[in-house]
Amino acid sequence: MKQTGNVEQHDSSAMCPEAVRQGPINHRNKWRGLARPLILLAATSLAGAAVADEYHYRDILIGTRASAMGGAYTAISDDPSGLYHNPAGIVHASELNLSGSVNAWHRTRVTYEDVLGDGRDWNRESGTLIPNFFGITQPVGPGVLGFSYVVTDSIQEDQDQTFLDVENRERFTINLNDNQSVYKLGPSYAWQVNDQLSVGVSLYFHFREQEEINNQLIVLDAGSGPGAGDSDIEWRYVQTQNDEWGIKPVIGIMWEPDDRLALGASIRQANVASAENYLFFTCHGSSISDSALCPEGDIDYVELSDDIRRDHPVEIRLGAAWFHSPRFLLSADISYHTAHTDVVRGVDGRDVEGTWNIALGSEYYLNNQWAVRSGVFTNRANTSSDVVAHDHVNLYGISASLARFTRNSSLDLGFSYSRGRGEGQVLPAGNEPQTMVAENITIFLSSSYTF
Amino acid sequence: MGRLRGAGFILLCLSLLAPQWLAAEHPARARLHQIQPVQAAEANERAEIRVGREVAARILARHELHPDAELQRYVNLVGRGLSMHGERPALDFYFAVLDSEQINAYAAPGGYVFVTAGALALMEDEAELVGVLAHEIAHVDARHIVNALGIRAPESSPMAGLTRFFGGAGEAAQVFFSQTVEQVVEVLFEEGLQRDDEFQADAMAVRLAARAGYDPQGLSRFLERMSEKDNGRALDEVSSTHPAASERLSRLSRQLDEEGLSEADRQRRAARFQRHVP
Repeated sequence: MKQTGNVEQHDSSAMCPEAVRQGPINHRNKWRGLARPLILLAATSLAGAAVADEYHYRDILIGTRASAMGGAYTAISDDPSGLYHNPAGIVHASELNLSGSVNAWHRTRVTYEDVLGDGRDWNRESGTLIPNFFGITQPVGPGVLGFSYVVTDSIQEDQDQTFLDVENRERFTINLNDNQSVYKLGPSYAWQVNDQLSVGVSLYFHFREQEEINNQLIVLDAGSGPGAGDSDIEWRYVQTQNDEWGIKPVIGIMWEPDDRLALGASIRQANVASAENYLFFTCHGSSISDSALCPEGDIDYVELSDDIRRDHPVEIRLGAAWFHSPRFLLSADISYHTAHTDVVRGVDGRDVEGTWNIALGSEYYLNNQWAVRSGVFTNRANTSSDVVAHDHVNLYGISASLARFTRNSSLDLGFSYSRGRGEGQVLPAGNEPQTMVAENITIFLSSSYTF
Repeated sequence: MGRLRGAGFILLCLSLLAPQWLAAEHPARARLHQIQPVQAAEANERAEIRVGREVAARILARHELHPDAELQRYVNLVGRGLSMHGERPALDFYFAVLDSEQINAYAAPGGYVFVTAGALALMEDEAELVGVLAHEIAHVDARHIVNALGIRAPESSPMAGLTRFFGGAGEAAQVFFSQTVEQVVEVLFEEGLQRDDEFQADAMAVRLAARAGYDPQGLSRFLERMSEKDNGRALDEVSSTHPAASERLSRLSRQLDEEGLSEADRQRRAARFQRHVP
């Protein structure tokens, strides 16, 4: 991992924390030495992980059929969404095929239980309308050419909340604005080696953008320290921005040893070519209370930027599909994301665990015009349950859709829902881990056309 | 990236080592909505044929077959050869001569075509026979009756009550089937088809005759002779079920001119016709 770092800092007091008092630092290790206390500071009030979602890999399912079948699509992949799941499968999309998918509504909700005292929870919610897939396939030469655009993750949080009488706080206000999206677009080509075997490759341009503004204001009750009898405030403002781009090749293979059985596999990894990370931190400490934000009554701010490129895991997918009849099929997927070291907001590292996920899907035609699809899937956390600094919630989901077919087109209405309970560390270190519940729901309306 | 390159190399090797002799098709991938339009079309055609067969039986209940087997064979040969140039060459057409003095011809759905002995007696050559048969083939090719009465396979029908139409399981379905057959018979013998369907069949017949190498004016000559014939009873049926011959002739004349078929020098096969038709 290559990086250059630059720290611009401004002291207003000799009482500032040690990390903030350091002069300009260009060496990575020293920079990290500065960054860690800042991140802890950022977590002093309520911070938590970004919802989207460095802790999970399957928040948004991609493609019309695949979404409804829990994402169990590696061994099917015979329509444009196969460009993403397993490009080898698109050799079976023998006609010009156009597919678009609109996630009419994608919502995430994370509830940190009882973190505000008196049984009060803190909720982080995101709702976004995203066109998350577009793909087209066309037979060209001996194979099939395709192009697809995919949004694999998207979060739009805009939260304004005020809590009164939270422990020794008269008023606690949080304003959170978090926008994150991961885009992929690029061409694919697949060719059939023989009637049993096909191979394919997609070469995606990978782009990720994230910007978060987290503003928290605490009005403290009058305490017993200096200035007793008067209230005071603590204030913290954090702005982060991370952009990265690179390439993400997907290599796929499909083997069909029997006319009803298909086995598929794909492997992929995003390789970041360029990254820009930015952190701006401002705090104000109270004069009447011990503050972990800033010393008494002081205001400090720090600005950090770097071009540290994140490592992404290698993802391996294996799938099987049983085409029982033209009316009924079953599919199953297992996927594995390798362990690696991540960089959070450009300044901090964490060890990401290797993560397994499974999905099962089915499709049943009521008649030649209507079909129902369903699936179950896991979306397990890539965090360790032993490290409480990062949310650890394993999600388990279901999906379903109703499809209507006409001569050359289809229309799907469906949903996917996943939920899990785990532990996180949204309160300052030293507190017991907090119980948290995470939910994702996507309601999608999509269509495809064959010419 | 290195790991991906390695995996790609492995996949490429696997693909090159793939056993080519294990070739097999994968029809199982086809989903119901992809294959059933073809199946539905086939089922609809089967339904059409079944209705046509029953209608043919009703026609034969009204008129006996002409006893001359050689005549029947001759008309069948001409008709089947002609149908191969039509728009539904895969459909098996059956032709028969009815022992009736009426001057008419009928086409039941599914390719069952009848011409009366009275009509044959009015013809002078094979091109005129072809003109008449081509008109009936055109009705079948264009599915005039099928479309007019909505004859289709049960799974294609929007009405739930039709779902067992040809399954034979429901009494209601059998009643509906019988009613459909009755409606077809009424169309053929009493109500007639839409005027536009008749004109379209005339136009298609001229082209079909020309494609088959016959004089495309055979139908016009037959209609002219029919209109000149002063035999009210023999023309009752055709008069009530078809537009006036004069209007048909006018349209045919215009078509022949527009399509450059007026001067067409094609076969009439009068001698062969007269050998087979007494």
